Amino acid sequence: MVYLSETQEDYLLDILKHTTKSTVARIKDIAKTRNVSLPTVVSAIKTLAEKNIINHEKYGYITLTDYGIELAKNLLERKKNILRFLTFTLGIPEDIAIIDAHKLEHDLSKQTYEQFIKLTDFLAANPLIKEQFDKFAKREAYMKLNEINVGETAKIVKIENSPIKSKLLSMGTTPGVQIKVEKVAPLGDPIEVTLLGYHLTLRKDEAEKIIVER
Amino acid sequence: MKSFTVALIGNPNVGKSAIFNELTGSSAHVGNWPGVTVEKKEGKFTYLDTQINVVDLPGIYSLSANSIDERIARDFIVKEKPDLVVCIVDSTNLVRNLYLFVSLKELGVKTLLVLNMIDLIEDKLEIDTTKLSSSLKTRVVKTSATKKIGIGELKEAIFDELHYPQEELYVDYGNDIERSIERIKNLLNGTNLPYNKRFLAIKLLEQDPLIIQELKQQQKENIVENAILEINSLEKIYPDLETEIIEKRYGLIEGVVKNSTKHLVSIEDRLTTSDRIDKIVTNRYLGIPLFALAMLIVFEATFKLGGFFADYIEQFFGWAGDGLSQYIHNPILQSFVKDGLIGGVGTVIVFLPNILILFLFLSFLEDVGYMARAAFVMDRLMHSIGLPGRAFIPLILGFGCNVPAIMATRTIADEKDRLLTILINPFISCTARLPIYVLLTGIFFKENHPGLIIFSLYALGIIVAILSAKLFRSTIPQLKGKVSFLIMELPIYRMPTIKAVLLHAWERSREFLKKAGTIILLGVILVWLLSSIPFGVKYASEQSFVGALGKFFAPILSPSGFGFWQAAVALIFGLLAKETVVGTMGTLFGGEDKLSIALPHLFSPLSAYAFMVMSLLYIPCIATIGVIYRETNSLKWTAFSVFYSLFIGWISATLIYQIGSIL
Repeated sequence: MVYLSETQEDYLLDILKHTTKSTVARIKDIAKTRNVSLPTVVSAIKTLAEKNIINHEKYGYITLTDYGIELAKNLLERKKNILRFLTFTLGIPEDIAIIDAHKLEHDLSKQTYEQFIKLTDFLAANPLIKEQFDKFAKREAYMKLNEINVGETAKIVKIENSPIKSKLLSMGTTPGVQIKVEKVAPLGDPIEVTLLGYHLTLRKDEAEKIIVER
Repeated sequence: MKSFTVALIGNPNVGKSAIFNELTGSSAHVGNWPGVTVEKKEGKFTYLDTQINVVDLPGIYSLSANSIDERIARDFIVKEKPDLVVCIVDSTNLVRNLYLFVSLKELGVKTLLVLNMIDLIEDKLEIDTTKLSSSLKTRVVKTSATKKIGIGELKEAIFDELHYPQEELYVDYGNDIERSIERIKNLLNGTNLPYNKRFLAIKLLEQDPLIIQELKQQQKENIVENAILEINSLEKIYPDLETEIIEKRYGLIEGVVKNSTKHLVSIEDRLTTSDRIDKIVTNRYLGIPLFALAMLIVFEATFKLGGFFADYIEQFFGWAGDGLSQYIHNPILQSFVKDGLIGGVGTVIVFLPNILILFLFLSFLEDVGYMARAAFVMDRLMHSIGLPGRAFIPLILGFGCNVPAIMATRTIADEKDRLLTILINPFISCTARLPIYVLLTGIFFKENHPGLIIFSLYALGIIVAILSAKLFRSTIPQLKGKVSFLIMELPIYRMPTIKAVLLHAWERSREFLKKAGTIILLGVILVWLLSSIPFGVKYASEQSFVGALGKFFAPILSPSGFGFWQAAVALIFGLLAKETVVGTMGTLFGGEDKLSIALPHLFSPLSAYAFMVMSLLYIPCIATIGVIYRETNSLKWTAFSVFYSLFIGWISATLIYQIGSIL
């Protein structure tokens, strides 16, 4: 496989986009999408043509060679896979993932890339493990009730296993319930919270067992 | 006459006692549930030709078997099979309250739902009882026990429901769990536990310890094992099965409540008067001063105001004893009537003003909702010495008198915590011990910081109480472990009815008279007997049995520095009431005015201090012993308290005397 620079890869993908839309791409269209001047495009096209990736015909029309098409499709595939790795496997929000994928696309070694795909496929095939990982990953975002500031409201995620679990659950501290920290006792412990329209007091080491998210 | 049994059940603070009182009037009878110190109230009323017996079950949040209260309630329902279970809920807080109700329906019992405190939601929440009734498969009655609304309808509804069958209510736990329930139900067919099979199956999935134990007793381990297999396979789908099951119940309730209620005001407007009061009462800076003020008022009223009446009662019994004995010529009988009988009755009655006033205040504070706040404010401090927040009030009251103080431990819900608070209470120096300190410091430490000496005794009492608490927590199996959890509702503030407060104070006083009173009277008569035999000797003289006892104990007391029989006799008489130590010494040495001359011959300042330490710590007085027996409901713990304090008193006095002698 030939080596393409980052910019060359981008050109190739742009050309693929245009050619799939209307069989041929024109230099001025490409200049427009990439927001560069015509001469810049012309010189880039020249290099690609030299590598036998595209056919540069007259009137500024460009088509991909068979080799070029395969190359571009591989590139596209790679781009998609990396994006999927970021969003699905790592759970990165799409807007951040697109930016990061762009950074990874060009510089990633083949080995690392292939392991990325394997990991993504493995997790897709084993939803329970995926779920465990998601929970594990999300835990960082979770807090314990005793860490919530006075006046703040949080949503209960779960009650940790402990002798007080069943008591807490039966008093209505079930997952999904909104819980507000009202105040701390004058001596710093216990705390007072409201949930389901009533007031509850519990010690901080008891509140520790209630996992919440803000 | 036909008769039925109806049980009242509900969360704490829903006004269950008030409903009970309204239903049963004056027929109420207070006792204990067998084997435990949890209070059991029973009463009855008549409707048409039917007598309806009402049993008040402990206030609980669920029917799992996590606490003694929950076990009592569940056991009563499944084993005594009341004809109807009336579930009382707080209308201001339907969702959480209905959890218990749904659990009752799952148990398969006939129910009646009472929406109490309906007056509090008047223009805030609209409840469609028809919808509520049809979705919960039960009859619904609205009441307000304090405003006496709906009591007639409630009686009628109870009567009606006794005669009609009721539809069952199922919580849908989803296909996977339902299949497991069915499979476990099939296995349960051969068993004869008194529960509904579906309830049993669900409880097995929740790993209810009591039910597992009962099945094992019936040699049905295979069912338990099968249930565990079901749990293991369900946990592949629901990693937290327990939460899943409870969530499903709450899910049903939330749906029903949403469907049958309408909020008439916005959430912001729901900030109630109660919340506004709490802004001050549990405020960061005002919380503790306000609690201290409340305590001061209760303390002063109980012991100052109570003491005022108690003085008159004492005078009256003194006068009655003297007056009556004029008509009795047999000297033994005369002495029995004066010192034994009338003295004994006097010893009991003299506590009545204290107890009555104290419980007027305490039931007011409890019913108004303040006691939960007091626990909130004091929990941290008490927690650090291994006690719950609610133990603070009994300990403070101990400085007045240990008798009402120990009775005040009732407010502590956990049995372990309560027992512990009772056992350490006698070490808190009550006012009856003060005359001993005053007398002896007056004679031996007049020039030598008498105030500091007395203060050191009070401090020693507190230290011994705290150390004992720590010791018991770490050594006695029945008391071992940590403080029970707090997790407590802060109920909304409410104005209790005068009747409820009076009734409660009277119930407490009556209990004291009946059970503790008997022991106190017997104790006083016993001491009289010991002082009078062999008949004919001078009362409590060297020749009497008590004198002989004094002589017997004197050598045991000599390592403590006061090994003479008069000290032992004075201490024995201190059993009656600790201030009697002073009076007895006066009698033994020919008048209290002679003591300042007589005592320095027997005591050194060091041994006088050791004697005060002994007086502080040894056996609580008979009244305290009586009330310890009443509250622990156990001779074993009463005896333990007596011997432990005797031992601690002796060892402390001895250590102080011996170490002091070396220095």
